[in-house]
Amino acid sequence: MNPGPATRESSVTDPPVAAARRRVLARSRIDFWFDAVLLVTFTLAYSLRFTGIATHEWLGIGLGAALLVHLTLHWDWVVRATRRLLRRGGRERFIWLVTLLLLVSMTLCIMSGILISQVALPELGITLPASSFWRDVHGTTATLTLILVPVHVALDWRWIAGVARRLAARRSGEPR
Amino acid sequence: MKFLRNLSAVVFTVAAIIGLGLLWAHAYGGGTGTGPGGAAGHGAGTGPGNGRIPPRVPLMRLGHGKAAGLIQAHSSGGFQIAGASNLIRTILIEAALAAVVIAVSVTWRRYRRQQRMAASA
Repeated sequence: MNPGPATRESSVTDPPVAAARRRVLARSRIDFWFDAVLLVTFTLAYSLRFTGIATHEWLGIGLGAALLVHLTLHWDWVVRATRRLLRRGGRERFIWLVTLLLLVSMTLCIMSGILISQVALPELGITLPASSFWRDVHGTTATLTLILVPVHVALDWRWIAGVARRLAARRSGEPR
Repeated sequence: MKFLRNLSAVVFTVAAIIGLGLLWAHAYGGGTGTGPGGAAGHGAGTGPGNGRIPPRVPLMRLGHGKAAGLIQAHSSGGFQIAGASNLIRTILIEAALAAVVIAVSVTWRRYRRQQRMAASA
């Protein structure tokens, strides 16, 4: 789902290559921090007894908007992976399947959360009839999402480790 | 421009999932609040109990927490240190699952590398 291992930031020999590498690193950095914020937000939103209902609902709505941005940033990967689905091996298919399941699960979770909202929607002046169906969907998809999120993250652990190493090296001023 | 094009594709995909979800609800007949969980969750139900939850201490039936049970959530804004164990539990579940996936991934890579080396030898 990610653009691949981050490239070295500086190359003095070839300015266009160096510029391209800088762009890749900048994009990797954006992806890394944005995804980290998404993970933290989801973890907080899931911990209902820690956040309380109001924060839970607002975090969920924010997560919905952030999910749209996350998907948009990685849409090229989605299209590429879908096209290559038949040609590639089991691991790529598994990653694609996990991503698809996570998309469906998280979308339904956020949608059902909005439909059963007790604080956020009434604050916006919207009231919807309560539904046991959407409550059950919210519970089931929340649990499924809790399982799929760490799997989705861990499947990209090499990319995460690579970018984290680079960011740490950059902060400490080591040439990489 | 490309961002907007991708965003519209994403919005279309998400809308399709939402549409399927609504169809599912319609087929299930669960659009609005009848059913056994009517009084247990996120607000008023029209099913058995037909009760509005006291707003300050809503009882949530969200599947997380005790399985199929009711968990209590405060309705005030801000984080509650008293519920930190809930957060820690979530983090532990995520960490454990991620660790399992990484361990399987590393083992699988090693196995594949050994297979390749054996094949080339």
